[in-house]
This record gives sequence, C-alpha cells and structure tokens, in this order.
Amino acid sequence: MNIQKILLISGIVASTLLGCGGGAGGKSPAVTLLPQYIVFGVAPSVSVTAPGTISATASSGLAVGYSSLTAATCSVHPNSGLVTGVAPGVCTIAANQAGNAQYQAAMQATLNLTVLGNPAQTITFAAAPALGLYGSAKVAATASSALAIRYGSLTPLVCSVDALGNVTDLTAGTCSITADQAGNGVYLAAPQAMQSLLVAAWTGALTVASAPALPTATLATTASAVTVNFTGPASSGGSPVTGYTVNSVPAGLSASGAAAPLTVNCPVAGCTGYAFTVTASNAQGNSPASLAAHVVTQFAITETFFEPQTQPQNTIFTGTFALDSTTGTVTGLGGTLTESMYGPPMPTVILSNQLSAISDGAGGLLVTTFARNTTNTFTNNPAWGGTDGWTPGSGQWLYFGYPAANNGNAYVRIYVNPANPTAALTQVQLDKLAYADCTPLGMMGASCMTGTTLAGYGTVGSMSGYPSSQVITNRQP
Amino acid sequence: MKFTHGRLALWLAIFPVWTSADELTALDAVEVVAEKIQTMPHSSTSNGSGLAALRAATSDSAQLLQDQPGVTLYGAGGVSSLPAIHGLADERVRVQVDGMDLMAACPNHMNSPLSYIDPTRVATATVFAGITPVSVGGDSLGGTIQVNSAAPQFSQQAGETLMQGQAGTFWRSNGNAHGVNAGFTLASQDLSLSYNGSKASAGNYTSARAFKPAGSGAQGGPWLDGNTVGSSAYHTENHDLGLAFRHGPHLLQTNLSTQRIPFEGYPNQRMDMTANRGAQLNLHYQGQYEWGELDARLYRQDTQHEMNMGADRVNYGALGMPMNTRAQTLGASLQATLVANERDLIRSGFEYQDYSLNDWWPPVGGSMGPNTFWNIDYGRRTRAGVFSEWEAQWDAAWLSQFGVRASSVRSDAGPVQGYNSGGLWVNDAVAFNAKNRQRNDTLWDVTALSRYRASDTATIEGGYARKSRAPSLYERYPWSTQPMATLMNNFVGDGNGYVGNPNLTPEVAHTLSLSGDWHDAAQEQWQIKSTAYYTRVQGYIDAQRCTVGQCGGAANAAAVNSFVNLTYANQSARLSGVDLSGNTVLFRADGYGRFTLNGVLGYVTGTNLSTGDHLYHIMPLNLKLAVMQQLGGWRNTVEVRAVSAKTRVSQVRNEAASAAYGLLNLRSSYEWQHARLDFGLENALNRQYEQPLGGAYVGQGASMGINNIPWGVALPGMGRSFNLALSVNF
Repeated sequence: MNIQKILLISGIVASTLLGCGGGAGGKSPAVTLLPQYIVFGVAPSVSVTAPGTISATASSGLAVGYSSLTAATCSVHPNSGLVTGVAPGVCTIAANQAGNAQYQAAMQATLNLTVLGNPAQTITFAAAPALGLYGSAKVAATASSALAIRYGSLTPLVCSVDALGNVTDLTAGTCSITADQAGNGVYLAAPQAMQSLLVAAWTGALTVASAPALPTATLATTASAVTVNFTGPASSGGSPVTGYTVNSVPAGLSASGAAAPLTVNCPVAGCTGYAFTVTASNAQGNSPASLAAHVVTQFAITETFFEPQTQPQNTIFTGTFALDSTTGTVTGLGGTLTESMYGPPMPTVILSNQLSAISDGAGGLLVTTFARNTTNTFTNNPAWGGTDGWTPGSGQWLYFGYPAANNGNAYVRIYVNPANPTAALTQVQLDKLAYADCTPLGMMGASCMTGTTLAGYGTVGSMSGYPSSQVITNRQP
Repeated sequence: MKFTHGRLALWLAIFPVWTSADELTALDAVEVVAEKIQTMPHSSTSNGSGLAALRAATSDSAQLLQDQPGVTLYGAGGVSSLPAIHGLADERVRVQVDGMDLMAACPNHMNSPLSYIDPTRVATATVFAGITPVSVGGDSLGGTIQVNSAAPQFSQQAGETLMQGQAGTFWRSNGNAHGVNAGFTLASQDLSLSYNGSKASAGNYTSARAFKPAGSGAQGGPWLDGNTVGSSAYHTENHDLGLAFRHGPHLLQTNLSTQRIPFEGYPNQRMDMTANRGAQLNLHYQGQYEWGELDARLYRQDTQHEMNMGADRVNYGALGMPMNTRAQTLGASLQATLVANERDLIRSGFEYQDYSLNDWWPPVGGSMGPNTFWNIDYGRRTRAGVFSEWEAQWDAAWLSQFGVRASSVRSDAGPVQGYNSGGLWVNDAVAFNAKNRQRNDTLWDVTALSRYRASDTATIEGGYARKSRAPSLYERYPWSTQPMATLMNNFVGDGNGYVGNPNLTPEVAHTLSLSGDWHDAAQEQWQIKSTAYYTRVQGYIDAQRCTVGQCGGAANAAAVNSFVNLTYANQSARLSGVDLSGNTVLFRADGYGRFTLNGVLGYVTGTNLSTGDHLYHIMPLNLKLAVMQQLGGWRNTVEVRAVSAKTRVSQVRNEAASAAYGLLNLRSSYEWQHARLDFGLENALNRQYEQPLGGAYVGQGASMGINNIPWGVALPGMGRSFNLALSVNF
C-alpha cells in the first residue's frame, strides 16, 4: 500500500460521492413546469333575457377558456366568456388553462352565478272571498316574481283593506281592491290587478256576529307580549262590529280593542303554553270564540362560529325557523352554512332537514337541521370513537361510513329559549351550539370541519372553531 | 525544527496519527515532560468513562453533552434533542458528526444532526463555546459541537491481524427502553475494516405524577395515563461500515452510515416522525507532511423523511396528514495546518456545502387536495467559505489567535402550490411565487483572542468574536399563512405556527468572552473554570406575531394564553451569562477509594433588544453537583441537579413558565478487563418537574387545530428510571 493507492481509492470514493451531483432532484415531485392558477372576476348579472360577460385570468397571463357545466341554465362562449341565460337557476361556468411549455395546466376553476328569469311580472288574485255587510274577508294576490303585494281600496266609502289583504266592509255596494307590485332591481313594476267584492244590503234580522276568522298569534319583538291578528267575522250579523276581545287558553290573559291586531301582555314567565281565541262584539252581543290560535312566530337566526384557522372567514349559519310557543316546539329550521375553508366568496351548504329537537334540561331547546334527510354524519364505529353517528365531537370527526363513501352530510345545532327566543345566550347555552360540515369542501382528509366548545362537547372543532354568537330576530312584519 | 516541551506536546496532540504503535516501536523510548495540553482556545471534551456513564441513561447522543459547561438541550424526540450553547440553539450552533456538517431535513428538525450517531458510537464530544476559532466555526453563532466516533484501529505489527469487537445492551425501566449494539474491527497494520450497529426502542415515558387528565390521545386510540407522555416512543437503528487505509503518516478513511427510524414520537411537535431513512458517505484524508498537516473531507448525506400522526394523535383518516421530505447534502472541506516556526501556527482552509431540499405534502382529500402541497420545492442552500487562522505562542505565558473567515451563502426555492386553487391556499402561493426568492448572503467571521498563563495554577483567556449565520431554508421559505400549514413548520417545539420570511438577512453576533482556569500545579487535585460572556446579535432572527393572510389578524396578535401564528423577523438581541465548572478531590483512603466532587453551574439571560421581550428557551440558573467514588473497578456517583424556576419567558411565543426543581441521580459501574456493567437510578426521588427547554406538550389530541390541544402544559421530565447497561469487548 502506498500513497498512490490511497489517492486512487480516494478518487473512486469521491466519484461515488459526487456521482449523483447536487440537488435532490428526481426524488420528489419534480418541478419542470411552473404552476398557475385561475381567478375569476366579479360575476355579472345574467337573466334569461340579458346575457353578461364573465372574466377569469390565469396567473401565467395565458388565455383562459370557458365552458358551462350547467347547460340547462346557461351557455357560455368559450373565448369571450359571454354567458347566456337559458333558464332561471344556478349556472356554473368552468375556466381552464391548458398550460404551455413554461406552465403546467391550471386546476379548473368554477364560478357559480344565478340566472334570473324574465323581469316582467304579473299579479294574480285568488278567488274572491265572500264579504258580508260590515263583515271582513281576506283577499290574496300574488306576484309572479313572488315579491310582496301592496293592497289598496278603490272604493274607500264601501270598504277598507290593510297591508295583509284584510278587507273590512263599511257599507253595502261594490268593494274594489287593487294589488300593486312596484318591482325592484330585477323585476319591472307589475300592471295593477283588481278584484271586486259585491256586498249586498242586510235583509234578515240582526244577530250577533259570527266568530272572527283566521286568528294568528305571534310573539312581539321582546317576547313580553303576544300580537293576535285575525280577520273580522265574515258576517257581522247585520249589526256593525263594535270591538274584539282576545282571551287566552288556558284563561288568564286577555286584551280587547276595536280592530286587529290586539296585543296581550305576557306574565313575567312569558306566554309559553298559551293559545288565544278572539271574540267579536256588536250591539246584539258577542260572537262565538274563534278557533284557538297557537302562538307561532317566525324567527331569523344567525349563528357564528369563530374559525381561528380560516381568518378572516368564519363559519356562519343563516336561517329561519318557527317557534310554537304554545307547545314549545320548533319547526322548519333551515338555512345555509358557509364553508370558510374556501372563498372568498365562501360556498354554502343548504340545511333544510330539521331532524332533531331536544331539551337541554334547563328549559331550552337544541334544534338541529341537516343537509341530508338523515342524522348520519360522523362515523358510528366505536373503533374510531364513534357513537350515534352525529353527536358533536364524536368519532374523531371522521365522516359517516368511513372508510367507505362519504354521504356528505352537514348540520347545525341552534339553541332556542322558548320563553324568550331573542334573549342573548348565556355562555352555557352558547357552549351547546355546534356544526359539522362533511361535504367535500368541508373535509380535511377524512375528517369533517366542525365547531364546538370544550365545555359543551369535550373539544373545540376540528379546526379549533367554536361558537361565538347566536342572534335570533323576530321576522314578523 | 526545534520545539519547546509545550509546543511538542501540542504537536503530538494535533497529530495523533504519529503516535501510532508501529511508529513508536521504531524509536527509542523518549520521556517527554510537559505541561498538560490546553488546546487553543478553550474547548471542553467528554470521552472515556465520563461518556460511558451517561450512555446507560440515554439513547440520545445530544444528552452526552449535558455535563458540558454552557451547553443546554432543547427537548425533542427521544433520540433527537437539539443542543444550545450559551442560549443559542439548533442552527445557530455548528454540529459536526465525524467531521460532517449533517443537516436536518424536516420542518420540525426532527432528524437533527446528532440523531444520526448512536451514543454507543460516540468516542469524543467536544464543545467550543464562546470564542470559537474560525477553523471550526462558520455559519453559526453560538459555537461548535464536534462528535466523533472512535478512530480506526490497526494491528501493531506487520503481518499481524487485529480482530476485536464489542457488544452491549441496555434496559431502562421508564418507557421500557431497551437496545443492543455491536461492533467489530478486522485490521492489518495498514488496513482496517469495521462495523458498528445499534438498535434502540422505547415506549412512551412517564413523568413522576399526572400532568394531564388520563384518557386516549385520540378517540379509539391507546389509553394514556395521566403521567404518560404521549408521542414519546421511538425505534431507531443505525449501522456504520468503515474502511481505513494507513500508510505512514497518511490516513484515508471512508465510512458508510445508514439510519432507519420507523417511528419517533415528538411530544412537543404536532406530528411524529413516521420514517427516516438516512445514509451518509464520508471520505476523510489526514496526512502529515514536513510543513504540517493536511485534512480533507468529502461527504454526502441523503435523507428520506416522513411525518404523520402517531397512535396518540387524531389521524384524520387512514392517510393521516403525510408530510414528506427528501434532502441531499454534499460537503467538502480542505484544511492545512502549517507549523511555520516554533512560534507560529497557521490554519487555512476551504469549505463547501450544498444542501438541497424538497418538502411536499401529498393530498388527503377535501380541502387538502387534490393537488400535492409543496412546502418547500427545490429549496437549495449552497455555502462556500475560506478561512485562515494565525496562532502564536509568544512566550511561555502569552498565546494569541487571530482568524478570519469569509463565506458566501446562496439560498433559493422554487415556485410552490397549495392543495388546490381555493382561497385557503392559492393567495399565499401566488404571492410567494411572484417574489424573487433567491438570496445571496455574505458572511464575515473574525476572532481574536489571547491566553495568558499567569502561573502554574492560573490561566486567563479572553477574546472577541464576530460570528455570522445566514437564514435557513425553513426560516425563509415556508409560505402558507394557513394555520394547518404553519403549525407544521416549527422547529422550536413551542406548539405555535410559523411562516417563513424570504427577506431575512444574516445574523451577526459580537461576542466578548473572558475565561479563567485555576488549578493545582499538577492538575490532579482541583480545578475551577469560569467563563463570562456577552453577546450582542444584530439581525437576530426572532419571532413576531403574524397578522397577514389567515394568521388570525388582531386576535392572533393579542392572544396571551393560546397557541399563535408567528413569522420570523430580524431584530436584535443580547445574551450574557456565566459558566462555572470545577472538580476537587475530597479525600482518598485505603479501602474507601478516591472521592471527588464535580460541579457545573450555568447562568444565561437573553433579551430581545427590539421588543424588550425575553428570548425563547433560555435555561434558568442551573447547578449540577456530583460526588464520585472510585474504588478498584467501581465508580459510584451521587449526582444532584438543581434548576431554578423559569420565569423569563418569551411573550411573543406565549412560552409557558416552569417551576424550580431538583433531581437526584445515582449511578454505579463496575469495570472488568473485558466488560463493564452500569446501573443506576435516574430521578431517584421520582420528582415531578417540567423541562425548562422541553417546550409545549402537544403530544396527543388533534394536532391540526391550533387550539385543539390545551395550551400552557409544559413538557414534563422523566420520572424515576432504573437503568442497566452491559458492555463487553473482546
């Protein structure tokens, strides 16, 4: 062995060391082409009669091509981006960029826009109700746009009408009611429609009025009172109605007045459990009591889950529900849930299947509505910590059926205090709110995005989201 | 050439190959009388029985440095602690394993350099703290740690074949840690072939008492008692094949080392290392010439690294959250040591290192797909440097050293992409890709120090160092502000998320250091060493709250009791402190042996001068005292470690404080001619304590949510453990 041999061996080993050269090329996702992304501009307004142009740009600067993924509602020019509405509904436009020698193909981007219908609208009256002398009836007109109708009386000496279409006769004759719709940014003003009601003179003996019709009861804004609305009796018995009285069932609460609506003040504990009847009075006496009306109130709700990991975007549920204060039940909870993992703008999931309403044991209701008509949301496999398939915080947030196909369910749980739905929640009540989003855009791997609190369900949401507020407002006009 | 005794001793120390047996047999016996060698500058080396006693208690080579003055350790995985010198840690310290500058290839620095060598292979561990000579420093601020395996063995006589081997095993009760190691050497007088291999495994360790509620780390997962530290288990396997040639004063070594870690849990990180496969090829030449010594090295490191969720964490489905890294490091160095004359010694050299890295996260579905996430793509950091160092022994009392190093560091990273083109990922990616990401940094290091030997019993050493370090790839290029990504880019174990900053500039540290060494004339009875230092770092890369993108805005900026998102920024910092160490013979007595007292005290403070905040992970005042009895083959040690409360914490990181504690360790060993038995009780009193530098406990639960894991739980230390180790050589 001599120094020459050592140097020879050194050279061989050195060649081995250097053989593959520097860099870690070939051992990882090789980047031979630059990535590029497509970003859409602001969506134009498109209707079946007015096209609009969309604009998408690729980060590479290369031209973008367009296609419609919803041919039933819209078409698009592949180069110019001119979108033509075919039918009202959601129109999805895709943008693609195939890449070139410098850039790899961009991931397809999509844009959803709503194709509006024909801006012209018409008004149609339902069949004319019977209207007796000094009696009341309700007319009903609808606009083809579904926008609200404004009623008016063309014969104010014969009859009057309120905003809800309640017509009150003042004397015998022809009562002409008009219906108007002024239009908005989408729809043109509708041609005025008219309905005439013939009121004959009273010919028989004077009697007590018949029972008021269509009584409704709703909570007032503060839930300290109930507003009772009704339509006057169809027949006044020939003697003008002089007043109305509202009584509670069970008895104990009452109010009286000359016309609807009447307001009944609630006791401190609220009006939960009460229904209300209405009695009309005239010179001949009191009418029979109307059917008892449950106190059913429409509410709007906005529930916000703070998402530390998708700021500034939070998960927000906006929806509506009806509270029957008489029975203490909630029905019709539905709305949309934003998906903060995407956007802006954030996509939304429609939740329209109220499948659960349970007591919190302290007078409140936990009401849950789902995207699918099933509660199956999380895995129910005990090996993953699953329980009933949807209890908030269970199953490591893995979707139902994991590892098989995902049914893509989602839900939101709200808290309703029947005695005072609009009251601010306590922290304990807030801790009971929850949501889960197992739709494709709400998934991290096989886990759903959720929002819960440690106090309520033993964990914060899968991305640390937790309920931060719930605001319920009374939707009554 | 004429030498004084001191210079001759230094010469022999520098050129150990010349002391090989065959050379000595050709010479007449020469009695050399000289002072004990003190290389320049102050360094501290552990070897021999000192290391052997520590090996029984750990499978983490970094833990072998725990008795070195000025050294502290950041907690990490079971075999991957990160050493700090005088409060400067990780990449601020140059760590060389068998001369190679090994690189971590992981956003969490899980595969730290010292994780690539098993403690049983470590023969010497040398720490240059404070004024590190430019010949051993570079691209670092705090100092240099050199860990080396044993030098190759050769037979004594021509025609004789040397066959020797060793084997060992250990068991530690806490975590049921166990392992084996073996090695052999087959050598002639000029050729040496060696193999060393080791395996070690451990389950989760336990602290003395519960520090969290008992329960599974993930629903359906393994049960964790209240004192079980989740994600602290590990399995590791290392092999090394060495071949060495010797011809006269020339030595050529080549080593091929491989590592396989199928799992290593990280209780202070949000993921675990689920695979690490490393290979290093190291070619080293050392030769002596009339003019001095030539040392050349060429090495290559390949790393395949994978992170994912271990059994104690929510795994988000069968795929988990895979994060993969491939890296390659190619390095070369050439150093010549020229003994110019009796007074002057010149060291000059050149170093080159090319580090390339790809860090990508495969898609797993939902918002984390369909594309692959590129955390750092085609990251590359290329460093080249030259240095020259002049050391002069002016007279018997005065010695000086002056050195200059110039380095150029080029960093770059390719364009990136997120999991998809949704707003969660695309905005950050587009912004990052639009930037010019290449950075060229020029580093200048200067050291000037002097030693004055006042008497046979006292030596004073003082100096100044200007050290500089260029930002790492993981400080510059992680681009996503989405917390799911930021949380995975964290190499300090605080549980927070980090976003890179391509605009970082190099750190420049100015250090003044003064050391004293007092001892008896023979250096056999007692010794006290003390070092005081003051360092001011310009452009100190510290954290600041991230307020852009999805970091969390004002809420993130104001949070005081939760994990937060951070980014890096150049600020300025000051560190100062004192190291004190010493030993003395307490007494000797026939039948009782020799009793010695050893002690190490460390004190360091660190302040961010830009914000007034305390620096992160600064070890509080700590003291180790050990009394050791040597009697025949017995060595019995009673050791007390005392650490004061950590109250100076980094507010920007919401660092958790830790309480004061004291530990009692009992160690014994008996050594026969061909065997050694170690046994002991670590934390003999089973005291519950929080590791001051252990970081945040995030070893169980749902890692992807920034605050799904309780904040404020410091990583506890290990409870009592009975340790047993046996090694034999033949």
